[in-house]
Amino acid sequence: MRREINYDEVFDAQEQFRLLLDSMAHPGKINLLPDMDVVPPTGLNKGSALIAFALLNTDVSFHASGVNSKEISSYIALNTTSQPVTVHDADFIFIGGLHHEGILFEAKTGNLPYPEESATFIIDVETTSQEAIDDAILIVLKGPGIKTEERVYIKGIQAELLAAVKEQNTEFPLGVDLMITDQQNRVICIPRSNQFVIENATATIA
Amino acid sequence: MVENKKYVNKYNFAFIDEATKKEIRRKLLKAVAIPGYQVPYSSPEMPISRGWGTGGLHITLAVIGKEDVFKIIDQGSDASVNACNLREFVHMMTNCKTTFDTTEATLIQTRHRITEEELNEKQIYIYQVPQPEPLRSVERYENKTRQMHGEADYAKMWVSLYESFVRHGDIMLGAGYPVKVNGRYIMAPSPIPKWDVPNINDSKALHLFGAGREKRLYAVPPYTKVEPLEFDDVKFSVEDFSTYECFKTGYNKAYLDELYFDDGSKHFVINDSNFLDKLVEHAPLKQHSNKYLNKLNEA
Amino acid sequence: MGYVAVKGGTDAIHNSQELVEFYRLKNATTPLDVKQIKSQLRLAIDKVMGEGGLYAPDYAGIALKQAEGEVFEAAFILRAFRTTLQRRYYSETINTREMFIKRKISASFREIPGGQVLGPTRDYTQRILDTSKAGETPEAVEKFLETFESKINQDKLQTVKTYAKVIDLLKAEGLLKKVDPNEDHSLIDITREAIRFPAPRSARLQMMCRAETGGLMAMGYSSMRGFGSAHPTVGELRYGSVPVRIKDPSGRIRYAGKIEVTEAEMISSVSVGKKNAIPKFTIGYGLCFGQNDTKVICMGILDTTMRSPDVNAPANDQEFVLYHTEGIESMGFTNHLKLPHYVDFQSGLNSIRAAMNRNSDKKLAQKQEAETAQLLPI
Repeated sequence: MRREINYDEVFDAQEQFRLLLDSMAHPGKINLLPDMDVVPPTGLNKGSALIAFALLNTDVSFHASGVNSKEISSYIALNTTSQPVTVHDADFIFIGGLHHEGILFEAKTGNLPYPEESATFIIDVETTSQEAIDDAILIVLKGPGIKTEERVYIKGIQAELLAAVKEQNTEFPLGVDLMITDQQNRVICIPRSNQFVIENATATIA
Repeated sequence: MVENKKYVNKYNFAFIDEATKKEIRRKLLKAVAIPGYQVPYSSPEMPISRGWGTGGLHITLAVIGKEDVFKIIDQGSDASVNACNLREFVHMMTNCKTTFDTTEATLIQTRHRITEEELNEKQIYIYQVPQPEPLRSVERYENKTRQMHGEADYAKMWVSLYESFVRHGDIMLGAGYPVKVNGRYIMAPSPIPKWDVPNINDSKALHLFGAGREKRLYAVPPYTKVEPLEFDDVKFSVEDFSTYECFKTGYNKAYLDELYFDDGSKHFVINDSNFLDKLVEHAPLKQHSNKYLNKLNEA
Repeated sequence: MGYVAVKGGTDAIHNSQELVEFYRLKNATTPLDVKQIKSQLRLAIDKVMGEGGLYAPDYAGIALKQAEGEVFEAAFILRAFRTTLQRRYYSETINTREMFIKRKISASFREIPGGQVLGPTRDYTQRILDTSKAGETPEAVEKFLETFESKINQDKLQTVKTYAKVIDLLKAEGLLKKVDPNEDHSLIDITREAIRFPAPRSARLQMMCRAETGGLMAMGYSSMRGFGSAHPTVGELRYGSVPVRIKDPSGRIRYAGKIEVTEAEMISSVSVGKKNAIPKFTIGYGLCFGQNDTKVICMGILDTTMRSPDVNAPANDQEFVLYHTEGIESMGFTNHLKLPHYVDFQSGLNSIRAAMNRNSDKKLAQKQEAETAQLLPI
């Protein structure tokens, strides 16, 4: 369980937030987080750890679920002072791309006067790319932030998970927002305002 | 007794403490995810008066980094007194490069105008907003307007526009014309003139709005539909400068300021000071394009 | 040449900053010692702390000096300073029953436990301008203090006591309205999140605690004059110092120091809703930093009025009271009208000129129509 000391609270957080803001404002655009000297536990992408350090603190809560979730939870709590809570209350939810989609229906989606009181999912996948790759799901995104359309291949996510996200977001402005990181520190964001379509679901479910 | 050396001016980068920056950043991400929706935030006090740009400052100071190039305008001018004051403050707190050149800037903070020159994909445009609630003129209570937005119940707004038309022959709204964002939320674009409103639609840049006193943040991502409220038979129109022209350049396809010289004579001049400077110097210039401006250019 | 140059803004600001400093110092008088301000302008310090929302007498003194005595400006400086400080702890709830009493009165009862203690108050002084204050000398001050102290009979001093509250007595008799289980009891921090309406009582009291005294006074007064329902009595008003305690990271409660506060409990009678039920008393609460009777009395009045279902009176309207008594925000926004607004104004000019043109076009068209009608053969 490592207490990370190489993360600069002021400048690293700011630079990485700008990448996340850019990603959320341009859904599907692939941004690259820096390859910092941090060692998250197995099951948590380095990019996801950086997102946690950049955005989380004692004022918000989180929930980690899936593979090695206990260690991941301790790691995030120790390094951000954010409090681990149940999935129903969590502001930030950390899962792997192959996680069961049921979790989407347990997260908070906000309420009509305050739709922002909803969860942000941080999903760990294997690879994301704008060029075709094997064993990947292709999603085509349209909506605010995208000029015409964006096409992204994601390997290491199961289609049902994305389908569940779509379902949760049909009652816009209620919904959840996604940040997807891969094992090479890439990140893409999908806000609830986005209409994405799953064009081919050929990934095998582990 | 207070020992002065303890309080030698030692400020955190960008003044605001890191916990508040994180809160503003998280709220900005939600705002971007829900275009046009006003997200409440803590809005800490600043050494600048409420109503004088604290909201815009909060956003600027939460997003700014060492490499950013900062531009700030007030009523279109970089040299306006309040813009100067805020520029000094931001520079003092970050040591960032500042500029008057629209194309050089990465962050542009504004009070009540969008630059005439086109924005690009690398820029973030940050608005100072006095009244974030577009429905405030028809409903004084916050808990009611929140409900109206939640249920997309905008009937009262439409009725007031209709009444305005019936009384005066047109929708008598000047600066701060309400718009509908992404087909869902009615939003107050801050008191920019109607001339500027079409430039938020399908923009290349990210637009962030901060109302410090009222404690609300909202956003319009790039390439988002932003439509001024209008009826099928009573359309939105921009200000008409066809019978005037800028006395320095002769140009009249930009927003013009009305001036009175000492002898009482009336003249007009281009409001956007950097745009004016570039025109006068014959520097390369690319103005925003939108359907209203295009129609003027075709005429 | 009459072109209004808007360049040179930075120079203008720097010059005006220097000029303001010149105005503060130009009479070349002895610089005020912050100690003097703290001591002899005690109530201004209390007001600045109360409206700045920061208990820091030295800093309040500096702020008053910096602002040339303008209390709004000084409170603003203190409020902005507060934002730069790191928030380390929330204190334990302060118990005013532990107060070292300097003043304690009740209008509801003739005699109360511990008696009616007037304390340091100007309530019963005559507001006659005392010109002798203009010639006050350090010697006269010393003489006054000596004489005052000599009047204290050391043999008659008693141990410091704390006193039960008047409302505790009412509660014991069952006269107080029971706490409403439906009322929102959540404890939020209004300095950390934007207020939402309807606001829980904790938010309303916090907002009022650092609200501007004059604003609260106007609202409280309106309620008493008939724009509302309240005419409460002062159940108890206390001024004195209270201990502040903090729980350290290991869980131990530690004494951190003491602060001076004024507290008011205003008693009103209300119906309890059920038909034929006996009416009960309800308490309107007020608390602020330092000595400020007016503020806490009005807080107490407004605490009660804002719980009233009748929203016709401005003092009962939560949004109206809380938004508009926030001194820093109201001062900022009212004064922002001084900022250039010529673009917005131009936009409005454009609209109105267009409307005038439409109107004159319409009149011209009507006139022409009338003339044409006259020319038509019958």
